[in-house]
Amino acid sequence: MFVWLADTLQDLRQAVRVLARAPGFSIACVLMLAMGICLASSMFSIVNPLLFRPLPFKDPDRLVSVTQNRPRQNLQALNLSYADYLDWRRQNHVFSDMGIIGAVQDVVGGSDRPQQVRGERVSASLFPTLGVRPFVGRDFNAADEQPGAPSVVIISHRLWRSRYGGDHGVIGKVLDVNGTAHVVIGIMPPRFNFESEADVWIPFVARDIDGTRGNYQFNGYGRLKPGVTRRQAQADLSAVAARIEREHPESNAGVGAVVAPMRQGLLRGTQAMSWILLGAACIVMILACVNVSGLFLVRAIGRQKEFAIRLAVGASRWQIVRQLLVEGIILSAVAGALGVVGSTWATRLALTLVDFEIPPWLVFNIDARVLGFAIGASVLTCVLFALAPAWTVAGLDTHSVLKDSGPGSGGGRRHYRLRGLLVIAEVALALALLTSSGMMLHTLGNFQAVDPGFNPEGLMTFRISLPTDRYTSGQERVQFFRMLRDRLRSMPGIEAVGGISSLPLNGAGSWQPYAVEGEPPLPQVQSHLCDFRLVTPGYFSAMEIELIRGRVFRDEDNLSSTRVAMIDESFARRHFEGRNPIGRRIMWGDAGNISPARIVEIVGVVADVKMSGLDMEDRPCLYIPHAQLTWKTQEMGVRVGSGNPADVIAGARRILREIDPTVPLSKPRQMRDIVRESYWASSYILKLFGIFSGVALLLAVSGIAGVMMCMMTQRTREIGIRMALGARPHDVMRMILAQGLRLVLIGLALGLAASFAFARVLSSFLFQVGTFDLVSILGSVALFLAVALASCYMPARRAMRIDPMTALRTE
Amino acid sequence: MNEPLICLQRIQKIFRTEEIETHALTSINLDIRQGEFVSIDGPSGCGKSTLLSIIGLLDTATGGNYLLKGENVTDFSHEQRAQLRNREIGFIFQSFNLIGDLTVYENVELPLRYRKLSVPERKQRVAEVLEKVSMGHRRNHYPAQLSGGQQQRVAVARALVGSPSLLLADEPTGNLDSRNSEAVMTLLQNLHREGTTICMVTHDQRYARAAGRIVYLFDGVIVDESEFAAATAGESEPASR
Repeated sequence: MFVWLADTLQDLRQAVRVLARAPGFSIACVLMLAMGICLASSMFSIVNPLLFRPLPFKDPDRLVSVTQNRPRQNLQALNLSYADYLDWRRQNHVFSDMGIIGAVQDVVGGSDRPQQVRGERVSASLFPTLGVRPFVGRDFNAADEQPGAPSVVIISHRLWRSRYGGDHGVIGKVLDVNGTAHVVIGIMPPRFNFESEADVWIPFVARDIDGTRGNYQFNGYGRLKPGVTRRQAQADLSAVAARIEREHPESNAGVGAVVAPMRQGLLRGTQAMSWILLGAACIVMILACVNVSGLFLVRAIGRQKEFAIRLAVGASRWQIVRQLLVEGIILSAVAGALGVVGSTWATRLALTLVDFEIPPWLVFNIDARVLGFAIGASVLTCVLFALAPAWTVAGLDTHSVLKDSGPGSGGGRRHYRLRGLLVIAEVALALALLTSSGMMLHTLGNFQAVDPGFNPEGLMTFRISLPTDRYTSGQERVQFFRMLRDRLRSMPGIEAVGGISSLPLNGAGSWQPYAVEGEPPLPQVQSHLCDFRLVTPGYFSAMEIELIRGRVFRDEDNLSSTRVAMIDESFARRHFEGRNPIGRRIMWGDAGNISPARIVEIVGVVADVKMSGLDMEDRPCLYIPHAQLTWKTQEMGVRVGSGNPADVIAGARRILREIDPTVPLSKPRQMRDIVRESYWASSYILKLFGIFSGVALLLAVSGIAGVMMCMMTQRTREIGIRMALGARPHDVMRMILAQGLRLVLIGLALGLAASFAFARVLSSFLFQVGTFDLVSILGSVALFLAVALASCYMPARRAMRIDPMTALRTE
Repeated sequence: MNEPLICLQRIQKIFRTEEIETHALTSINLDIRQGEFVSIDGPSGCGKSTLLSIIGLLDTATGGNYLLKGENVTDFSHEQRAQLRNREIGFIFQSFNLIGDLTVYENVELPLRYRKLSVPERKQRVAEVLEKVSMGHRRNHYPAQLSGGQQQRVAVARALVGSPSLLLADEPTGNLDSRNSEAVMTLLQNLHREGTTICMVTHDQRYARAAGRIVYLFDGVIVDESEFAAATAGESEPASR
């Protein structure tokens, strides 16, 4: 044991000495490895909470998300209606408990320091389901959910500190929420966040439970009983859903249940992107290893004599490989430490490139798992780059090397072939990354070229949510929004103002089944579905959506006038191809729930608008005037003629304070940002792939230059002989360039094959770009050839200048 | 007569390329007994170094048998040959072959490290052998800080430190001036007198005669052998057989 320890220490000492004597080599290796480890570790830090870190709840593996779907109408992910949730909770056999949550905007404080905060409406069972409880005070109970029960609220630790200065006596005090007195019953623990950075949680109280069927407004979660699998839960909940369908066919025909891991429910599709980005970062790390392998190999060739001597005095080949590994471990350890330090900075940088608000419960810090990854990556890189020199040792011809009086033989064909293979691998991987970046760039260009059907430039948007306990009549709501619109219109520079229940491309929206008068009725589960939006007069002008036919909504379209609607071109094409839709009537809503108010007459046709995504085919859209179906929330669009659209917000807040100081203005955003955010995933992948492929290109080019320089040095004598025999300098240059380009071309061919594989993995993030994207491929190959030629040129130029006499004297 | 330390039976070494076969050694039969000082002589390219490499287990024969201390080592694996080399054979090279990144002490200690001897034992043996070659005062120097003669003395010390059965010297004076050559040869002769078995390749007739026996090689074949009554350079007449 002591001998082993002493030998290891001596190995370490010697390795440090060897590396210190070659500072250029050591620094180059450390920097390249650190860059690779930094990129991979920072990506791991980012994907860690998305893929690996357990959710911050008790027994997180038993938590699942429960949603509804309507597969026959291609609605795969609906939220959960309150009535269905209650049935599921009562009738299931697989969950120890279930809970629901829905986000709202609340104003706390009333006239006493009013403060707009995020709020959640929850079931009393939510926190027990998650396994969390208030840090002070009590949790909700079933009585709090009953109609007529005293209004209660649980507040966040943050609000408790900021509003009450951390006073424990706050329990039992009254807090005004949206104009209604609520008794504070609890304070959640510090940093507790779930779904959003909420400050108040209020139990959801339904006065007409059955009326909530078909209104998919909650996110549902369940805690599996011990030993129950997700598959069993799915089967059980499907049986419950089928029973509800039989009992309530008018609202639940074709409505199913979906049980998914909670992480999947919370993260909604970011996991595929996470794996792609982590994979790409790891490829860059491997590229760094391949490059360092190349450097180690050149150095090992120069150290062949040393290895031969060690073998001659009785070292086994493993003992020499161990010495190389020790040197590798030292470099990896230094690079790993630098990489981890750098990754904290790189993680922050990568997160700033995200175009949307990151959920607050996602914490991107360096934990034991990230450190473990970095250490694992360092060890792996060490093994990877030490393999090539180990291979050199394995094939060492001791006898020949020891006869040579120089520092070591030139390396020979075997080593040249291995270096060539390393360069080919580098070129192939770098080209695949570069081509992928090209495809993402092409995708971004395609997104930007899509006409969304409206003009996002010069358009400011924000959301207005009226307090839930006031503005109870439709007339009050219509008056409020009309006043707001008129006051906004009177601001200088404002060209048009309008509101809609949910702006295009903001990720929300609703749909309704419908039937066109005169067409044969369809079974309910196959009924047509349309995108359903409530808009105020002025909306289409503000958005600059083209009116194709008829007219837009007017203030006169109200509850006392004929029920009217507007449709988009897709709707018109589907039902009125070649005919005039103006004046035709539509019935919207579930077949069993049609009232006269839901029979509307088409008064106008507007251009199609991209509602769900620039890359998605939308359903036909039905617009209803807000004055005929009023909701409490409107998303406003303000068209600004001149100046910065963002400047509108200050004026809008002032106007809002004058109309009703308790009404909050939230989510102020320019429409162009909403459009950009709609393809944020592709945009984000492009940004990071741009960085990755830039680094990969740099590594590949330095690898090519390194191997060419090495080959040129090894062939100095040969070049001298050739020149002595009459070769002209440009013959030599051509020879060296051809040698380098041959490797590059083989690498490019393999890289193209790898590009197809990459493109298949990326396919869900590509838009109007196939897996064989000629533009990206040709662009990447041309770029690569240009830089490869440049990197071969320097060694080739040096070869041209070799003095034959000097070369022939050098052995 | 006792069993030979080295027994080569019909040893062959053929180098093959895609088109040409080169017979470096042809049917070499050679015995070296314990305590002998054998010199291998012959013109350049006759196979002297190849023969020494095969004896030193750095290279393998393509035919014949090699017995070391009576054990057939012809088909030993890399690992077995490394162990045997470490235990039984010490090398001295023309170009010294010291490792530039290691100190004198570490260079000499190297065979003992690979033998996994304890640290105190290593220290003692390295100190003894460095004193033997008068290099104890230079133990912390690096090879580049030494003269050629000093480097070769360190190489001799490294060859001796493991107390090998056989010392192989490949042109040990080839890179030295005459004064340092004399010193190294004197050192080898002293070692021989103390009982060390030495096999040396040399071009230099003066130093070849320091051996008790000269084996002449020509085109890979042993063509002649001479034995001397006394093993001191220039003191005896050769007796051919």
